[in-house]
Amino acid sequence: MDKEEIINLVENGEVTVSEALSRLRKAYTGTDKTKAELTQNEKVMAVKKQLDSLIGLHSVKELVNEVQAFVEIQQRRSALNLASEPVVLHMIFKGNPGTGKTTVARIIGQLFLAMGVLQKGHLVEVERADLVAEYIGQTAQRTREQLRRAQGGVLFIDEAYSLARGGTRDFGKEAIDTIVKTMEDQRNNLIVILAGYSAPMEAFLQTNPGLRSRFPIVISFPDYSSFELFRIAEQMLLQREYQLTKAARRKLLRIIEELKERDTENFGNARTVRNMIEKAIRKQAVRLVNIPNASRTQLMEITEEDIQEVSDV
Amino acid sequence: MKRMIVLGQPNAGKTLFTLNFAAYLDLESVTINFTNYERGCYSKTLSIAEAKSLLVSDTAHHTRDIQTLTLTLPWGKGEKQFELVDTTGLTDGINHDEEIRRAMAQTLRFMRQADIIFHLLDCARIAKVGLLKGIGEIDYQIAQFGQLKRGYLILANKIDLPNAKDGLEKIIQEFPGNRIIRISALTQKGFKEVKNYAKKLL
Repeated sequence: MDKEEIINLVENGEVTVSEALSRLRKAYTGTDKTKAELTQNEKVMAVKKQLDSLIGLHSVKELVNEVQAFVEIQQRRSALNLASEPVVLHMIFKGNPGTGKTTVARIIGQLFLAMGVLQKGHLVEVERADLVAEYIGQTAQRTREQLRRAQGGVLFIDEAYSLARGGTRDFGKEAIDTIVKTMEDQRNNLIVILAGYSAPMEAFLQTNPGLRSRFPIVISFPDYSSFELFRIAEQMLLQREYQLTKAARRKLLRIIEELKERDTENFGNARTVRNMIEKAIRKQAVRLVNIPNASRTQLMEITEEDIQEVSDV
Repeated sequence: MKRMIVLGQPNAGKTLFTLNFAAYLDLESVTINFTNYERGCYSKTLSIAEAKSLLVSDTAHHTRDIQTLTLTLPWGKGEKQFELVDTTGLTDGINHDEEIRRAMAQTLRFMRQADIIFHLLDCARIAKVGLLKGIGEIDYQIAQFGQLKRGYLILANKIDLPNAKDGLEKIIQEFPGNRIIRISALTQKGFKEVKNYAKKLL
Protein backbone atom coordinates (compact mmCIF):
# COMPACT_ATOMS: atom_id res chain seq x y z
CA MET A 1 0.00 0.00 0.00
CA ASP A 2 1.16 3.48 -0.77
CA LYS A 3 2.53 5.45 2.18
CA GLU A 4 0.32 8.46 1.53
CA GLU A 5 -2.73 6.18 1.47
CA ILE A 6 -1.82 4.84 4.90
CA ILE A 7 -1.76 8.38 6.27
CA ASN A 8 -5.08 9.14 4.60
CA LEU A 9 -6.58 6.22 6.52
CA VAL A 10 -5.70 7.99 9.76
CA GLU A 11 -7.31 11.15 8.50
CA ASN A 12 -10.52 9.32 7.68
CA GLY A 13 -10.49 7.67 11.08
CA GLU A 14 -10.17 4.17 9.65
CA VAL A 15 -7.07 3.09 11.53
CA THR A 16 -5.31 4.21 14.70
CA VAL A 17 -2.10 6.18 14.49
CA SER A 18 -0.21 3.22 15.98
CA GLU A 19 -1.53 0.91 13.31
CA ALA A 20 -0.61 3.42 10.63
CA LEU A 21 2.90 3.75 12.03
CA SER A 22 3.37 0.03 12.03
CA ARG A 23 2.14 -0.19 8.43
CA LEU A 24 4.36 2.70 7.39
CA ARG A 25 7.33 0.99 8.92
CA LYS A 26 6.54 -2.17 7.01
CA ALA A 27 6.14 -0.18 3.81
CA TYR A 28 9.58 1.29 4.36
CA THR A 29 11.42 -1.81 5.46
CA GLY A 30 9.66 -3.87 2.81
CA THR A 31 11.37 -1.83 0.15
CA ASP A 32 14.62 -1.39 2.03
CA LYS A 33 15.06 -5.04 2.73
CA THR A 34 14.68 -6.10 -0.90
CA LYS A 35 18.23 -5.42 -1.85
CA ALA A 36 20.08 -7.37 0.75
CA GLU A 37 17.77 -10.06 1.98
CA LEU A 38 15.38 -11.13 -0.75
CA THR A 39 15.92 -14.33 -2.65
CA GLN A 40 16.42 -14.29 -6.38
CA ASN A 41 12.82 -15.25 -6.95
CA GLU A 42 11.47 -12.41 -4.82
CA LYS A 43 13.71 -9.93 -6.58
CA VAL A 44 12.48 -11.11 -9.97
CA MET A 45 8.89 -10.85 -8.80
CA ALA A 46 9.50 -7.29 -7.60
CA VAL A 47 10.88 -6.26 -10.99
CA LYS A 48 8.05 -8.01 -12.80
CA LYS A 49 5.57 -6.15 -10.67
CA GLN A 50 7.20 -2.95 -11.81
CA LEU A 51 6.75 -4.07 -15.42
CA ASP A 52 3.13 -5.00 -14.82
CA SER A 53 2.43 -1.60 -13.34
CA LEU A 54 3.16 0.02 -16.70
CA ILE A 55 -0.05 0.95 -18.45
CA GLY A 56 -0.90 -0.83 -21.71
CA LEU A 57 1.99 -2.58 -23.52
CA HIS A 58 0.34 -6.00 -23.23
CA SER A 59 2.26 -7.62 -26.06
CA VAL A 60 5.52 -6.26 -24.69
CA LYS A 61 4.85 -7.57 -21.21
CA GLU A 62 3.98 -10.98 -22.59
CA LEU A 63 7.19 -11.17 -24.58
CA VAL A 64 9.35 -10.06 -21.69
CA ASN A 65 7.68 -12.71 -19.55
CA GLU A 66 8.43 -15.33 -22.18
CA VAL A 67 12.08 -14.33 -22.34
CA GLN A 68 12.34 -14.30 -18.56
CA ALA A 69 10.78 -17.76 -18.28
CA PHE A 70 13.06 -19.08 -21.01
CA VAL A 71 16.18 -17.78 -19.29
CA GLU A 72 15.10 -19.17 -15.95
CA ILE A 73 14.39 -22.60 -17.34
CA GLN A 74 17.75 -22.66 -19.11
CA GLN A 75 19.38 -21.78 -15.79
CA ARG A 76 17.53 -24.55 -14.00
CA ARG A 77 18.34 -27.06 -16.74
CA SER A 78 22.01 -26.29 -16.64
CA ALA A 79 21.92 -26.62 -12.85
CA LEU A 80 20.75 -30.20 -13.40
CA ASN A 81 23.36 -30.80 -16.08
CA LEU A 82 20.85 -30.92 -18.91
CA ALA A 83 21.76 -29.53 -22.29
CA SER A 84 20.80 -25.88 -22.29
CA GLU A 85 20.29 -23.51 -25.18
CA PRO A 86 22.73 -20.65 -25.37
CA VAL A 87 20.92 -17.59 -24.14
CA VAL A 88 21.27 -14.63 -26.45
CA LEU A 89 19.44 -11.65 -25.05
CA HIS A 90 20.28 -8.91 -27.50
CA MET A 91 17.09 -7.21 -28.61
CA ILE A 92 15.49 -4.94 -31.12
CA PHE A 93 12.85 -2.45 -29.97
CA LYS A 94 10.62 -1.05 -32.68
CA GLY A 95 8.09 1.69 -32.08
CA ASN A 96 7.24 5.36 -32.23
CA PRO A 97 8.73 7.82 -29.79
CA GLY A 98 7.14 7.88 -26.37
CA THR A 99 5.90 4.31 -26.47
CA GLY A 100 7.94 3.16 -23.49
CA LYS A 101 11.06 1.73 -25.11
CA THR A 102 13.55 3.28 -22.71
CA THR A 103 11.40 2.51 -19.70
CA VAL A 104 11.13 -1.14 -20.66
CA ALA A 105 14.87 -1.29 -21.41
CA ARG A 106 15.59 -0.03 -17.92
CA ILE A 107 13.29 -2.64 -16.40
CA ILE A 108 14.92 -5.37 -18.50
CA GLY A 109 18.28 -4.36 -17.06
CA GLN A 110 16.87 -4.72 -13.55
CA LEU A 111 15.17 -7.99 -14.43
CA PHE A 112 18.34 -9.68 -15.64
CA LEU A 113 20.26 -8.22 -12.76
CA ALA A 114 17.77 -9.90 -10.41
CA MET A 115 18.15 -13.15 -12.33
CA GLY A 116 21.92 -13.00 -12.07
CA VAL A 117 22.48 -12.74 -15.83
CA LEU A 118 23.89 -9.22 -15.60
CA GLN A 119 26.22 -7.98 -12.91
CA LYS A 120 25.07 -4.38 -12.69
CA GLY A 121 21.87 -4.04 -14.69
CA HIS A 122 22.34 -0.35 -15.43
CA LEU A 123 21.25 1.28 -18.67
CA VAL A 124 23.61 3.19 -20.93
CA GLU A 125 21.72 5.21 -23.52
CA VAL A 126 23.69 6.16 -26.60
CA GLU A 127 23.00 7.50 -30.05
CA ARG A 128 25.05 7.81 -33.20
CA ALA A 129 27.10 10.77 -31.99
CA ASP A 130 28.29 8.80 -28.96
CA LEU A 131 29.62 5.99 -31.10
CA VAL A 132 30.83 7.45 -34.37
CA ALA A 133 33.86 9.76 -34.52
CA GLU A 134 34.94 12.17 -37.23
CA TYR A 135 38.23 10.65 -38.28
CA ILE A 136 39.23 7.23 -39.40
CA GLY A 137 40.27 4.85 -36.65
CA GLN A 138 38.59 6.77 -33.85
CA THR A 139 35.16 5.24 -34.17
CA ALA A 140 36.18 1.81 -32.92
CA GLN A 141 37.82 3.43 -29.95
CA ARG A 142 34.83 5.55 -29.10
CA THR A 143 32.41 2.67 -29.50
CA ARG A 144 34.56 0.43 -27.34
CA GLU A 145 34.54 3.11 -24.66
CA GLN A 146 30.71 3.07 -24.60
CA LEU A 147 30.69 -0.73 -24.58
CA ARG A 148 33.02 -0.67 -21.62
CA ARG A 149 30.67 1.69 -19.78
CA ALA A 150 27.74 -0.60 -20.49
CA GLN A 151 29.64 -3.68 -19.28
CA GLY A 152 27.43 -5.64 -16.89
CA GLY A 153 24.32 -3.78 -18.00
CA VAL A 154 22.30 -2.75 -21.02
CA LEU A 155 23.59 -0.73 -23.99
CA PHE A 156 20.59 1.02 -25.48
CA ILE A 157 21.27 2.42 -28.95
CA ASP A 158 18.55 4.86 -29.92
CA GLU A 159 17.79 5.35 -33.61
CA ALA A 160 20.21 2.56 -34.39
CA TYR A 161 19.59 2.79 -38.16
CA SER A 162 21.39 6.12 -38.22
CA LEU A 163 24.56 4.05 -37.97
CA ALA A 164 23.94 2.87 -41.52
CA ARG A 165 22.90 6.23 -42.80
CA GLY A 166 25.94 7.48 -44.68
CA GLY A 167 26.43 4.62 -47.12
CA THR A 168 29.40 2.26 -47.25
CA ARG A 169 32.11 4.83 -46.55
CA ASP A 170 30.49 6.10 -43.38
CA PHE A 171 32.13 5.18 -40.09
CA GLY A 172 28.78 4.00 -38.74
CA LYS A 173 29.58 0.61 -40.23
CA GLU A 174 32.73 0.47 -38.14
CA ALA A 175 30.67 1.11 -35.01
CA ILE A 176 28.29 -1.72 -35.89
CA ASP A 177 31.21 -4.09 -36.48
CA THR A 178 32.80 -3.19 -33.16
CA ILE A 179 29.54 -3.73 -31.30
CA VAL A 180 28.87 -7.08 -32.95
CA LYS A 181 32.41 -8.22 -32.22
CA THR A 182 32.16 -7.28 -28.54
CA MET A 183 28.73 -8.88 -28.27
CA GLU A 184 30.19 -12.20 -29.40
CA ASP A 185 33.19 -11.92 -27.10
CA GLN A 186 31.31 -11.18 -23.91
CA ARG A 187 28.02 -12.78 -24.53
CA ASN A 188 27.18 -13.18 -20.88
CA ASN A 189 27.57 -9.82 -19.34
CA LEU A 190 26.09 -7.32 -21.76
CA ILE A 191 22.73 -6.85 -23.42
CA VAL A 192 22.62 -4.67 -26.50
CA ILE A 193 19.28 -3.16 -27.50
CA LEU A 194 18.80 -1.49 -30.88
CA ALA A 195 15.86 0.87 -30.80
CA GLY A 196 14.04 3.08 -33.26
CA TYR A 197 11.00 3.70 -35.43
CA SER A 198 9.51 0.59 -37.00
CA ALA A 199 9.94 1.29 -40.72
CA PRO A 200 13.56 2.51 -40.84
CA MET A 201 14.47 -0.26 -38.38
CA GLU A 202 13.08 -2.86 -40.74
CA ALA A 203 15.05 -1.37 -43.65
CA PHE A 204 18.19 -1.29 -41.52
CA LEU A 205 17.89 -4.97 -40.68
CA GLN A 206 17.30 -5.87 -44.30
CA THR A 207 20.49 -4.15 -45.40
CA ASN A 208 22.47 -5.85 -42.64
CA PRO A 209 21.25 -9.44 -42.75
CA GLY A 210 23.83 -10.60 -40.21
CA LEU A 211 22.19 -8.51 -37.52
CA ARG A 212 18.89 -10.30 -37.41
CA SER A 213 20.36 -13.54 -36.13
CA ARG A 214 22.46 -11.70 -33.57
CA PHE A 215 19.45 -9.86 -32.21
CA PRO A 216 16.97 -12.70 -31.92
CA ILE A 217 14.42 -10.93 -29.73
CA VAL A 218 12.31 -8.37 -31.55
CA ILE A 219 9.76 -6.41 -29.55
CA SER A 220 7.26 -4.07 -31.20
CA PHE A 221 5.92 -1.21 -29.12
CA PRO A 222 2.42 -0.30 -30.29
CA ASP A 223 1.10 3.24 -30.00
CA TYR A 224 -0.95 3.87 -26.89
CA SER A 225 -4.69 4.24 -27.23
CA SER A 226 -6.03 7.59 -26.10
CA PHE A 227 -7.51 6.08 -22.99
CA GLU A 228 -4.19 4.46 -22.10
CA LEU A 229 -2.52 7.83 -22.53
CA PHE A 230 -5.11 9.35 -20.26
CA ARG A 231 -4.39 6.72 -17.63
CA ILE A 232 -0.66 7.39 -17.99
CA ALA A 233 -1.33 11.06 -17.37
CA GLU A 234 -3.34 10.23 -14.27
CA GLN A 235 -0.63 7.93 -12.99
CA MET A 236 2.03 10.59 -13.51
CA LEU A 237 -0.06 13.07 -11.54
CA LEU A 238 -0.74 10.61 -8.79
CA GLN A 239 2.95 9.90 -8.39
CA ARG A 240 3.54 13.60 -7.93
CA GLU A 241 0.64 13.84 -5.48
CA TYR A 242 -1.66 15.88 -7.66
CA GLN A 243 -5.21 15.07 -8.63
CA LEU A 244 -7.57 16.09 -11.42
CA THR A 245 -11.00 17.57 -10.89
CA LYS A 246 -13.84 15.99 -12.82
CA ALA A 247 -13.96 18.75 -15.40
CA ALA A 248 -10.20 18.56 -15.80
CA ARG A 249 -10.39 14.82 -16.45
CA ARG A 250 -12.91 15.35 -19.22
CA LYS A 251 -10.86 18.11 -20.79
CA LEU A 252 -7.64 16.12 -20.66
CA LEU A 253 -9.21 13.10 -22.29
CA ARG A 254 -10.75 15.28 -24.97
CA ILE A 255 -7.47 16.99 -25.79
CA ILE A 256 -5.61 13.69 -25.98
CA GLU A 257 -8.22 12.29 -28.34
CA GLU A 258 -8.08 15.36 -30.54
CA LEU A 259 -4.31 15.40 -30.73
CA LYS A 260 -4.15 11.74 -31.57
CA GLU A 261 -6.72 12.08 -34.30
CA ARG A 262 -5.18 15.14 -35.85
CA ASP A 263 -1.61 14.05 -36.23
CA THR A 264 -0.97 10.35 -35.89
CA GLU A 265 2.44 10.58 -37.57
CA ASN A 266 4.14 13.02 -35.26
CA PHE A 267 2.19 12.42 -32.10
CA GLY A 268 4.65 11.98 -29.26
CA ASN A 269 2.58 9.48 -27.29
CA ALA A 270 3.51 9.38 -23.62
CA ARG A 271 6.09 12.12 -24.14
CA THR A 272 3.43 14.57 -25.30
CA VAL A 273 1.27 13.62 -22.36
CA ARG A 274 4.15 14.21 -19.98
CA ASN A 275 4.71 17.65 -21.46
CA MET A 276 1.03 18.41 -21.00
CA ILE A 277 1.14 17.32 -17.39
CA GLU A 278 4.22 19.36 -16.65
CA LYS A 279 2.62 22.36 -18.28
CA ALA A 280 -0.52 21.86 -16.19
CA ILE A 281 1.53 21.68 -13.00
CA ARG A 282 3.21 24.97 -13.90
CA LYS A 283 -0.15 26.55 -14.72
CA GLN A 284 -1.51 25.46 -11.38
CA ALA A 285 1.52 26.95 -9.66
CA VAL A 286 0.93 30.29 -11.36
CA ARG A 287 -2.72 30.19 -10.41
CA LEU A 288 -1.97 29.52 -6.74
CA VAL A 289 1.16 31.56 -6.20
CA ASN A 290 -0.78 34.65 -5.15
CA ILE A 291 -3.02 32.78 -2.74
CA PRO A 292 -0.79 32.67 0.34
CA ASN A 293 -2.95 30.32 2.37
CA ALA A 294 -4.05 27.81 -0.23
CA SER A 295 -5.31 24.65 1.41
CA ARG A 296 -3.92 21.18 0.97
CA THR A 297 -6.73 20.26 -1.40
CA GLN A 298 -6.11 23.34 -3.50
CA LEU A 299 -2.42 22.56 -3.70
CA MET A 300 -3.20 19.08 -4.97
CA GLU A 301 -5.93 19.90 -7.43
CA ILE A 302 -5.40 20.45 -11.14
CA THR A 303 -8.48 22.18 -12.51
CA GLU A 304 -9.89 22.50 -15.99
CA GLU A 305 -8.21 25.84 -16.67
CA ASP A 306 -4.75 24.42 -15.88
CA ILE A 307 -4.97 21.88 -18.67
CA GLN A 308 -3.89 23.16 -22.02
CA GLU A 309 -2.67 21.80 -25.29
CA VAL A 310 1.07 21.96 -25.66
CA SER A 311 1.89 23.79 -28.84
CA ASP A 312 4.99 21.88 -29.88
CA VAL A 313 3.50 18.47 -30.46
CA MET B 1 18.32 21.61 5.53
CA LYS B 2 18.01 18.80 8.05
CA ARG B 3 14.66 18.45 9.72
CA MET B 4 14.18 17.40 13.32
CA ILE B 5 10.72 16.52 14.49
CA VAL B 6 9.32 16.47 18.01
CA LEU B 7 6.86 13.63 18.59
CA GLY B 8 5.00 12.33 21.59
CA GLN B 9 1.67 11.95 23.31
CA PRO B 10 -0.42 15.02 24.07
CA ASN B 11 0.88 17.02 27.03
CA ALA B 12 4.32 15.46 26.85
CA GLY B 13 5.72 18.97 26.55
CA LYS B 14 6.51 19.13 22.86
CA THR B 15 5.68 22.78 22.30
CA LEU B 16 7.37 24.00 25.45
CA PHE B 17 10.45 21.96 24.57
CA THR B 18 10.51 23.40 21.06
CA LEU B 19 10.22 26.98 22.22
CA ASN B 20 12.60 26.65 25.13
CA PHE B 21 15.12 24.91 22.90
CA ALA B 22 14.95 27.91 20.58
CA ALA B 23 15.43 30.17 23.60
CA TYR B 24 18.38 28.03 24.72
CA LEU B 25 20.02 28.70 21.35
CA ASP B 26 19.94 32.40 22.23
CA LEU B 27 16.87 33.32 20.26
CA GLU B 28 14.75 36.14 21.58
CA SER B 29 12.03 35.80 19.02
CA VAL B 30 11.03 33.02 16.69
CA THR B 31 9.41 32.93 13.29
CA ILE B 32 7.01 30.04 13.28
CA ASN B 33 5.61 28.51 10.12
CA PHE B 34 2.19 27.07 10.78
CA THR B 35 0.91 24.33 8.51
CA ASN B 36 -2.78 23.77 8.85
CA TYR B 37 -4.82 21.30 6.83
CA GLU B 38 -7.55 23.70 5.85
CA ARG B 39 -6.01 27.10 6.22
CA GLY B 40 -2.76 26.20 4.47
CA CYS B 41 0.53 27.75 5.54
CA TYR B 42 1.19 31.04 7.23
CA SER B 43 3.99 32.37 9.38
CA LYS B 44 4.21 34.58 12.42
CA THR B 45 7.08 36.14 14.28
CA LEU B 46 6.65 36.11 18.04
CA SER B 47 8.88 36.71 21.02
CA ILE B 48 9.57 33.54 23.00
CA ALA B 49 7.45 34.75 25.89
CA GLU B 50 4.54 35.58 23.60
CA ALA B 51 4.83 32.27 21.82
CA LYS B 52 4.82 30.39 25.11
CA SER B 53 1.74 32.10 26.42
CA LEU B 54 -0.03 31.58 23.12
CA LEU B 55 0.99 28.07 22.19
CA VAL B 56 1.75 26.24 25.41
CA SER B 57 -1.17 24.93 27.42
CA ASP B 58 -2.17 22.32 29.95
CA THR B 59 -5.03 21.01 27.85
CA ALA B 60 -4.39 18.09 25.57
CA HIS B 61 -4.28 18.72 21.82
CA HIS B 62 -3.64 22.40 22.18
CA THR B 63 -1.27 22.24 19.21
CA ARG B 64 -3.24 21.51 16.08
CA ASP B 65 -1.00 23.03 13.47
CA ILE B 66 2.43 21.80 12.56
CA GLN B 67 4.76 24.50 13.85
CA THR B 68 8.10 24.71 12.11
CA LEU B 69 11.00 26.78 13.43
CA THR B 70 14.24 27.40 11.64
CA LEU B 71 17.13 27.37 14.11
CA THR B 72 20.84 27.96 13.83
CA LEU B 73 23.60 26.00 15.54
CA PRO B 74 27.24 27.10 15.70
CA TRP B 75 29.18 24.76 13.48
CA GLY B 76 32.95 24.98 13.46
CA LYS B 77 33.70 28.55 12.53
CA GLY B 78 30.36 29.07 10.84
CA GLU B 79 26.87 27.92 11.59
CA LYS B 80 24.36 25.46 10.31
CA GLN B 81 20.61 25.80 10.01
CA PHE B 82 18.04 23.16 10.71
CA GLU B 83 14.30 22.94 11.11
CA LEU B 84 12.68 22.00 14.36
CA VAL B 85 9.12 20.79 13.86
CA ASP B 86 6.61 20.84 16.67
CA THR B 87 3.66 18.52 16.11
CA THR B 88 0.26 17.46 17.30
CA GLY B 89 0.26 14.86 20.06
CA LEU B 90 -0.26 11.32 18.81
CA THR B 91 -2.66 9.10 20.71
CA ASP B 92 -3.80 5.53 20.70
CA GLY B 93 -7.26 4.83 19.40
CA ILE B 94 -9.21 6.68 16.78
CA ASN B 95 -10.05 10.24 17.71
CA HIS B 96 -13.64 11.28 17.08
CA ASP B 97 -12.63 14.83 16.19
CA GLU B 98 -11.88 15.12 12.50
CA GLU B 99 -9.69 18.16 12.95
CA ILE B 100 -7.45 16.28 15.37
CA ARG B 101 -7.28 13.28 13.06
CA ARG B 102 -6.17 15.52 10.24
CA ALA B 103 -3.59 17.18 12.44
CA MET B 104 -2.23 13.75 13.39
CA ALA B 105 -2.12 12.69 9.75
CA GLN B 106 -0.24 15.87 8.99
CA THR B 107 2.18 14.97 11.77
CA LEU B 108 2.78 11.60 10.16
CA ARG B 109 3.47 13.28 6.82
CA PHE B 110 6.10 15.51 8.41
CA MET B 111 7.51 12.53 10.24
CA ARG B 112 8.09 10.73 6.94
CA GLN B 113 10.29 13.57 5.79
CA ALA B 114 12.15 14.16 9.03
CA ASP B 115 15.79 13.21 9.47
CA ILE B 116 15.89 13.12 13.24
CA ILE B 117 13.11 12.23 15.67
CA PHE B 118 12.95 13.62 19.19
CA HIS B 119 10.51 11.44 21.06
CA LEU B 120 9.20 13.09 24.21
CA LEU B 121 7.98 10.98 27.12
CA ASP B 122 6.49 12.35 30.32
CA CYS B 123 8.43 10.78 33.22
CA ALA B 124 6.21 12.25 35.90
CA ARG B 125 3.05 10.90 34.31
CA ILE B 126 4.55 7.45 33.82
CA ALA B 127 5.56 7.41 37.47
CA LYS B 128 2.06 8.43 38.48
CA VAL B 129 -0.20 6.29 36.32
CA GLY B 130 2.17 3.38 35.78
CA LEU B 131 3.73 1.74 32.79
CA LEU B 132 0.61 0.45 31.10
CA LYS B 133 -1.18 3.75 30.94
CA GLY B 134 1.83 5.99 30.78
CA ILE B 135 3.56 4.47 27.79
CA GLY B 136 1.14 3.74 24.98
CA GLU B 137 1.28 1.48 21.97
CA ILE B 138 1.94 4.65 20.04
CA ASP B 139 5.22 5.21 21.88
CA TYR B 140 6.49 1.75 21.02
CA GLN B 141 5.53 2.32 17.40
CA ILE B 142 7.32 5.67 17.30
CA ALA B 143 10.40 4.01 18.77
CA GLN B 144 10.33 1.30 16.11
CA PHE B 145 9.79 3.80 13.35
CA GLY B 146 12.60 5.93 14.74
CA GLN B 147 15.09 3.17 13.95
CA LEU B 148 14.58 3.91 10.25
CA LYS B 149 15.75 7.47 10.65
CA ARG B 150 19.15 9.02 10.74
CA GLY B 151 18.71 9.89 14.37
CA TYR B 152 16.26 8.84 17.05
CA LEU B 153 16.45 10.24 20.54
CA ILE B 154 14.19 9.67 23.52
CA LEU B 155 13.78 12.75 25.68
CA ALA B 156 12.57 11.81 29.14
CA ASN B 157 10.83 15.03 30.02
CA LYS B 158 9.58 16.67 33.21
CA ILE B 159 12.53 15.35 35.19
CA ASP B 160 12.19 18.39 37.48
CA LEU B 161 8.96 17.04 38.97
CA PRO B 162 8.98 14.84 42.08
CA ASN B 163 8.90 11.06 41.45
CA ALA B 164 10.06 11.57 37.89
CA LYS B 165 13.02 9.27 38.62
CA ASP B 166 10.69 6.26 38.85
CA GLY B 167 9.27 7.09 35.46
CA LEU B 168 12.74 7.45 34.01
CA GLU B 169 13.70 3.99 35.24
CA LYS B 170 10.66 2.51 33.55
CA ILE B 171 11.53 4.26 30.31
CA ILE B 172 15.07 2.91 30.41
CA GLN B 173 13.63 -0.54 31.04
CA GLU B 174 11.12 -0.32 28.19
CA PHE B 175 13.33 1.15 25.47
CA PRO B 176 16.65 -0.63 25.77
CA GLY B 177 19.29 0.15 23.18
CA ASN B 178 18.04 3.67 22.57
CA ARG B 179 19.72 6.88 23.48
CA ILE B 180 17.74 8.47 26.32
CA ILE B 181 18.40 11.99 27.56
CA ARG B 182 16.70 13.27 30.70
CA ILE B 183 15.46 16.78 30.23
CA SER B 184 13.19 19.34 31.65
CA ALA B 185 11.52 21.39 28.97
CA LEU B 186 10.63 23.89 31.67
CA THR B 187 14.04 24.46 33.28
CA GLN B 188 16.11 23.68 30.19
CA LYS B 189 17.92 20.89 32.02
CA GLY B 190 19.67 18.48 29.67
CA PHE B 191 19.43 20.81 26.67
CA LYS B 192 23.18 20.87 26.28
CA GLU B 193 23.23 17.16 25.62
CA VAL B 194 20.36 17.47 23.16
CA LYS B 195 22.24 20.20 21.35
CA ASN B 196 25.41 18.12 21.18
CA TYR B 197 23.49 15.14 19.88
CA ALA B 198 21.85 17.29 17.22
CA LYS B 199 25.20 18.78 16.23
CA LYS B 200 26.68 15.33 15.82
CA LEU B 201 23.96 14.30 13.38
CA LEU B 202 23.59 17.48 11.36
